[in-house]
Amino acid sequence: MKVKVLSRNPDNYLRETKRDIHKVPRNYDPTLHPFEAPREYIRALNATKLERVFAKPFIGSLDGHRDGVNCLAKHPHQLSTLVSGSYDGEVKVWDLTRRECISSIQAHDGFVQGLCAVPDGSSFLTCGTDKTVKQWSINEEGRINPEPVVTLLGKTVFQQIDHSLGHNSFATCGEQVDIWEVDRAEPVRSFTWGVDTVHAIKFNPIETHILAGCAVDRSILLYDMRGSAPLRKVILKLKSNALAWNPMEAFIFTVANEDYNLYTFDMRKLSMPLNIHKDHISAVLDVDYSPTGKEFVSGSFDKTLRIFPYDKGHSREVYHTKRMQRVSVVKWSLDNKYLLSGSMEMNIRVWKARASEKLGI
Amino acid sequence: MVEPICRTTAYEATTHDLSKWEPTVKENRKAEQLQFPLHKQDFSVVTTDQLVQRFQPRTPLEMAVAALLHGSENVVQDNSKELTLAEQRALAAMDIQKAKERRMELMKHRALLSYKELKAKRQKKIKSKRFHRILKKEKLKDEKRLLETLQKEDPESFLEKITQWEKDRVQERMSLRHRGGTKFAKRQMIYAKFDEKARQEVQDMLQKSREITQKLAATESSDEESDSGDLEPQQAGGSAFVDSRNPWMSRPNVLIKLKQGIGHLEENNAENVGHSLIVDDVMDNKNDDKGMSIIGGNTSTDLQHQKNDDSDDDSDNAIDGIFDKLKESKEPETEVKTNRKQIRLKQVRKRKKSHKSDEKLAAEAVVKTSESGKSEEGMVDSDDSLCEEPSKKRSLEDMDALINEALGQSTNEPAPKKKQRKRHKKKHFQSGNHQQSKPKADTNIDPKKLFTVDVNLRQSSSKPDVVVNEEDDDQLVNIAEAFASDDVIEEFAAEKSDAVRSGQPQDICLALPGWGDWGGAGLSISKRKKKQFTIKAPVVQRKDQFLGHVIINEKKNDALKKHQVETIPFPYCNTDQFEKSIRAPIGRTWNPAGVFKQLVKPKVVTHLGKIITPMDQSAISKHETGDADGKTESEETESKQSNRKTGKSRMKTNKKHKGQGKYSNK
Repeated sequence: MKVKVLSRNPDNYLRETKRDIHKVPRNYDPTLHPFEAPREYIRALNATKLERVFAKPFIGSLDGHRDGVNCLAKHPHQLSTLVSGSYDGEVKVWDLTRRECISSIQAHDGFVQGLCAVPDGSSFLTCGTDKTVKQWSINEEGRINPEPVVTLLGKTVFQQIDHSLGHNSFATCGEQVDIWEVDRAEPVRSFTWGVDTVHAIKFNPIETHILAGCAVDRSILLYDMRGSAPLRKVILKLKSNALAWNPMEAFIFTVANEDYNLYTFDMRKLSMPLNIHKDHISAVLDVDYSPTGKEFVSGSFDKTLRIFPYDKGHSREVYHTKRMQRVSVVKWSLDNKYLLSGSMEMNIRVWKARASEKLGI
Repeated sequence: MVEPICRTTAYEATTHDLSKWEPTVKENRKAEQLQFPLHKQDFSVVTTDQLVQRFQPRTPLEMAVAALLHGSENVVQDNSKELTLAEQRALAAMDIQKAKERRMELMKHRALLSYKELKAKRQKKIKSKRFHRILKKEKLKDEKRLLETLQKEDPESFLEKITQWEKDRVQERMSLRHRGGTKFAKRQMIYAKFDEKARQEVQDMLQKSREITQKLAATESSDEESDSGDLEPQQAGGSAFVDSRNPWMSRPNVLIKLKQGIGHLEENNAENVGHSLIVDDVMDNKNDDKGMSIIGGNTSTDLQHQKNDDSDDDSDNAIDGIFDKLKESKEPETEVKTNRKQIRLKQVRKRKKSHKSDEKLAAEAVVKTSESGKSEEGMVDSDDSLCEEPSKKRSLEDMDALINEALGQSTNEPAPKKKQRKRHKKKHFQSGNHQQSKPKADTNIDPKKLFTVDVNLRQSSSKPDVVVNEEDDDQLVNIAEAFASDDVIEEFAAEKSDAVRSGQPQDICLALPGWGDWGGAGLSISKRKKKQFTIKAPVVQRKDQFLGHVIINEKKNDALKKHQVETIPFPYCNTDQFEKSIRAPIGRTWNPAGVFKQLVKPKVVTHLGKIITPMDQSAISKHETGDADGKTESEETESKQSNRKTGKSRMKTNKKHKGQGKYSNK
């Protein structure tokens, strides 16, 4: 006699390893799960609402400057280190994880106009209204050597400074754009086009010999470090305050304009901006791209930060607090998780890049 | 004049140079998912040897461990040798003669073991029961002997054995295996020799087991009987067989039967009552109600329950429930006979069963009553109905009769006798019972407030076989009571008329008092004037005008508009594609885990604490189809790395790159 028994294949209900997900037997017969569209709509709605409920972007502020924060620089290798310069000429190094100042120096007389890190992470450069450029060495713990490594004297006031990622040279701007090499006392090259001051300059992070600047005559200027003459000039209706290159798309850059808007340009077709990003209600003072190149953050005179998708006309997020005054400088952290903003009321603030994201455990 | 020309050429060269990024950028924009950092580091697996080689003891603990390890003789010091120092020494110390002897010993031992194993296997395979029985007996005997010897020699272990046995016995009792034939029971009998009380209990146990088996035999015999009685009605049927033992299957059947029965009645009208339902019986009911028709079965079970509970109310309720069911199912379909206040039911001839089965059933009934000692009436009655079982055809009239019967019983009246019930003429559905007044009152139905309900006629020929629990009936009664006041049809009609009214544009009366009218408060405008100045609203044709039981909302919902897209989004070519993709659900509920994960995977993935560096030259190199100047990829990256160190050489190679870009971007 044959006895029939129930037999089951263990493969169907046993996990291969302890880390596997549990196999849940499930019947996907659509008749058993009706109302897909309405149910999914409700779920999506709830998810959206919850996202808003949990949106708590502000992490903390770094308190310590005695004057408004004018410039910020990210450390190229350490996520937790931040350098900031203020209007009283003081430069501070911050530890972001502990939210405290590691060291500070009186770098310049007058404003610290520009601040940038050298790509190898061993030092950073500052320029000030005292017509000097100084290089400061910084150790792994973030301590600054109180004596500058190099001090370069210029003829005019430097408005901003930026270091090329691939070359051993940096650029300053002011009445003219100068290309420097650290071991030389004189600029390697100088660019002038007209008589107006250039107040912002940025190197292209991918094509590291290309740089772009914003001038007071409402123009955006493009330079190639290798050539002797500037490349091109685009004149907008109003002055542009800041400029940022897309770190993933070599020919895309965005400018923050006085007319409350941001303009994204393709460097190869300058006749028209690719996109106009509207939402600010006052002049936009600074802009910085996320390291993924998919979004950028802008700080404005209207005391807010806004996050824009690089290809959308409107912002996806606006950050503001009661006490934050006009935002002079913004940075997007190198791991794409945090935003940093320096504002006129002497504080540096740390924000989440995605407001409702859960951080930590 | 020279400078502008320089600028233009430089700009053009630069833009051309930049265009080499175009494919990379496009690809990244289109990518379903981007993982940052884009370029993964070298993930070569580090082997343990490499790790060990790199390891340098630093802390005092590590130093101590290292010293121990290197000093020990049990660790392989030299990689070229296979054995440790200690092992080598042990090998040297071993005497060959001794080793051989020991080996022989071991071999012998192993051989013996395998013989034993083989023997056991062989014995286990022997199929003879007798052999095993003898083996078992031997074992039992051994145990017995052991016990006796223990009693004399080692009373302590004997006591232990006894207590163990007692424990086992308790367990056995709990498992309710009161049979003496098991190995366990046999062993107990041995132990019982030493314990008077235990012996008695063994006897009790056997007694009990006997009782149980006796009882089982009785029910089995009744089953057989009923099975034999089954045959005839089953032949009469010929439609699907439904397992009556399964309450899930049987329950809805009752309702359907009732409904359909009534539907049938209605169709056939009053003069056509002779025509009746084909109702088949299934009589393999293993419970006490044997093979009754649907309704018959129903009532009889109710009655039996009543007997058990000795309470009239419950059965009343149950019967009430039946009537309610009847009424409910009737309501929608009684269009033809709405004026009737009483339901006329007709009795159909019943065919008697074979004498033999009748006798059997009667005998069984007697057995039952004698066993349970319950009132005989109901039993006989139900059996009566059984005896009269219409084997082929049966109509609702039977039900009527049976219900009457049941009512008679429930009020403890003497039950109507066989002959009276054999032929019921058209009988009025009335009696002094309070339950029956209900259906009368409710037969007043407005014929206009009716939905026509499709009756599934196919099922009407399926077999009724009912085992209805009292609980179910109670539930039905409860539901009926709960919704007694709900007039769904009227409510719906009101709702619809409201909808129609609100959808219809209103007439606009523009009449104002003026020439030829009296002024002042409380004056009315003349009818003629009103008529003259009224703008008549057009009559709107509604879609649900001729659909009795539907309200179609024709108002356009503007709230939806903002959720709809104006143009078809990028990857889709036509509306069909897009709509399909939108319609397909994404959630876990509708998709397997893997698909769900695929569907909701984020566009950009970054990792906490990982620095994302800007795009690298190496990203283009994979897009370059061929190496134009015979330069390999690795060479290129090498040159690039060196460029980063020295600025000047960089300039040169950059020009090279430019050339490459030109070539590849043709």
